[in-house]
Amino acid sequence: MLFRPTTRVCHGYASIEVKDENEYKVNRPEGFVKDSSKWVIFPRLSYNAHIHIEERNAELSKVFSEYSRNVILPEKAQGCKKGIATHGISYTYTMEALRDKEAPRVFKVSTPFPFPEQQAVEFLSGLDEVLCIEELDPIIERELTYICGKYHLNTKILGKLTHNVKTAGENTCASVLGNISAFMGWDIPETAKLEEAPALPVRPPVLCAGCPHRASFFAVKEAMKGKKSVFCGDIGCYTLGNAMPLDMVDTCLCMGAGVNITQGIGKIEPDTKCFAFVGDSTFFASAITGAVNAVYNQADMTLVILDNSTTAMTGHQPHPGTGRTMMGEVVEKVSIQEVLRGIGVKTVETVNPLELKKSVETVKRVADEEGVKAIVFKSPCAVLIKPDKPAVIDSAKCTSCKKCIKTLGCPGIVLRDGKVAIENSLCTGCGLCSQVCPFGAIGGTGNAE
Amino acid sequence: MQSNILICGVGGQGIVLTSKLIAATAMEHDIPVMSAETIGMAQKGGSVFSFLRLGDDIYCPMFPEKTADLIIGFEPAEAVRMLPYLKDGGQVVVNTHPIMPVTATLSGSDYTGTEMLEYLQRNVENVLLVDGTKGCEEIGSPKVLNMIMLGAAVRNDVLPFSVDDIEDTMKKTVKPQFVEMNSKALRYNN
Repeated sequence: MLFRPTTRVCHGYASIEVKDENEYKVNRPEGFVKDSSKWVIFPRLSYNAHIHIEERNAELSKVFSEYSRNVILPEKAQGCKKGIATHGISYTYTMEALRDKEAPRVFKVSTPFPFPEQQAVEFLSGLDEVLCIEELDPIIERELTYICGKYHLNTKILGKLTHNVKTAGENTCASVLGNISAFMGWDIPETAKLEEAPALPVRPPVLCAGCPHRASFFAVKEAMKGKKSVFCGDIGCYTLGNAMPLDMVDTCLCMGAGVNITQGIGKIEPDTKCFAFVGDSTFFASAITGAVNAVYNQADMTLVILDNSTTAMTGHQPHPGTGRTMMGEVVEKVSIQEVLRGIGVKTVETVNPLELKKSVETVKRVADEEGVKAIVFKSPCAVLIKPDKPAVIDSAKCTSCKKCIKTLGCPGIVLRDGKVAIENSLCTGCGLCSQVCPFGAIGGTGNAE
Repeated sequence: MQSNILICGVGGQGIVLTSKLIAATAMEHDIPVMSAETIGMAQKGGSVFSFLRLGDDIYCPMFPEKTADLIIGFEPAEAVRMLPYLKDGGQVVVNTHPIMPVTATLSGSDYTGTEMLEYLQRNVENVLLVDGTKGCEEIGSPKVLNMIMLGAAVRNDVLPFSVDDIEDTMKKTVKPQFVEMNSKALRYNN
């Protein structure tokens, strides 16, 4: 069984009625029963399994045509020859759009595969036109178009493929109301327009104040100044290292891709210092095989592990390096450094990125070596630790050169009346800015040099 | 009864927690509730919003423009950004303290929030200004901003709950040592 939740389904919640425990049917698995004709996928079995799957899909399609979650809602408008086919979150937008209206017939498809074919024929019966409202691929639209051909039905199927619904991106209450209104020929009532709003500040997401990733990126940037280099990123909070002023993520594709893209670039750009940045959690999930490939195929690159001891972006889940499981059990930590040495990386350095000078020196030295080498920047996620006292700006020393702002882009440093100031509610006292200030004007933190 | 609530602000202000608290309180009172929010990367200083719907006969956790009964804005510009969702006669409760985005700091912008508050006052009949930052300072933690905002909204009678109802749910959610501080915040009045 595969669930295909699109967009808001993953970001929404609702109260539900829960049955009493004894009202639930309990399925107890019979356990693993040895049967090599069933569990060992040799060509003969895959051949037989394929035949079985095709037969099963046809059977399931019939079962789903009777399934209570696939629903045809009869038209409220007498004699209406139009219909809407939809599913998932788009069904809810559709029903909101049809509230208090002379609604057409609606087909709610809960099982797009195998498609409930017989029920679809029943839905299409007598309709001239059907609008399909769905997200991602136009699965319902394709199925209905196929069914119209197969059963010689004279119903026009509209949707993404016919450009009656936008082809990409999330549907919304407003977009679906617009699609349905255009399809039904309804006027959208004009509402009184608000006075034009003042220019709103743009708020792209940024690395948090005190985030150790900012320090790691800045250290590599300083160390590679004036050298031809490329920085491949990966998926995590640290993808935000691409934002100005850091500008330290040249590529990001999918989890674990960075370490492999780096190797590819190294092959075609041999005079370039190639770096792959990957978080501790993504390292365990997706980057180890790429690192093995780099060692085996003799890449020349620096693998930078941004180890903040958590999976920050998705909500601080544990991972194999944290010493704690998702169920809360305490387990032995898997060491990133030992994994790297175990696969044959000779140079593995560990450094606290908030010690800027030492970090820059480490990057310079390690990047100059041949082959695959690794730097583990280890410092906990700023959200998880008790912040230190905020930094303090010595106004007598501050010349308002704004180097701290222009190089770090930390949300904890702001301008007040044209002067550099610390936003005390955000500053964690990480001390990076005090190490960047050329005038020694930022103090009050433990890491000040 | 149906009520549409929109909570908006900047990542890190406690918006998602606020909507979860309202949702939990609704469930305590057997009121059906649905919600959808922005999460993930948006929490890193980006714009964050949370849609909440209370009541029967609701299909969708989101609601269209011009249908919110209440907007709780944790930041002036964010309240303005979401204002098209407010229905005619709806209530806005807004924190007066602006948050300067990093991009504005980099470009040397002089965003102060004042023009946003003036815009809200010109365009919304029912707008309640709350100096949440002052409240946080008086209570002693920047983390109680969400309770200050929620308390102000509840006292304005736009939610089907009392401050006591919210407090009961809050007590079940937060650690015992933080209960008193949050209770104070819920009742903060400036």
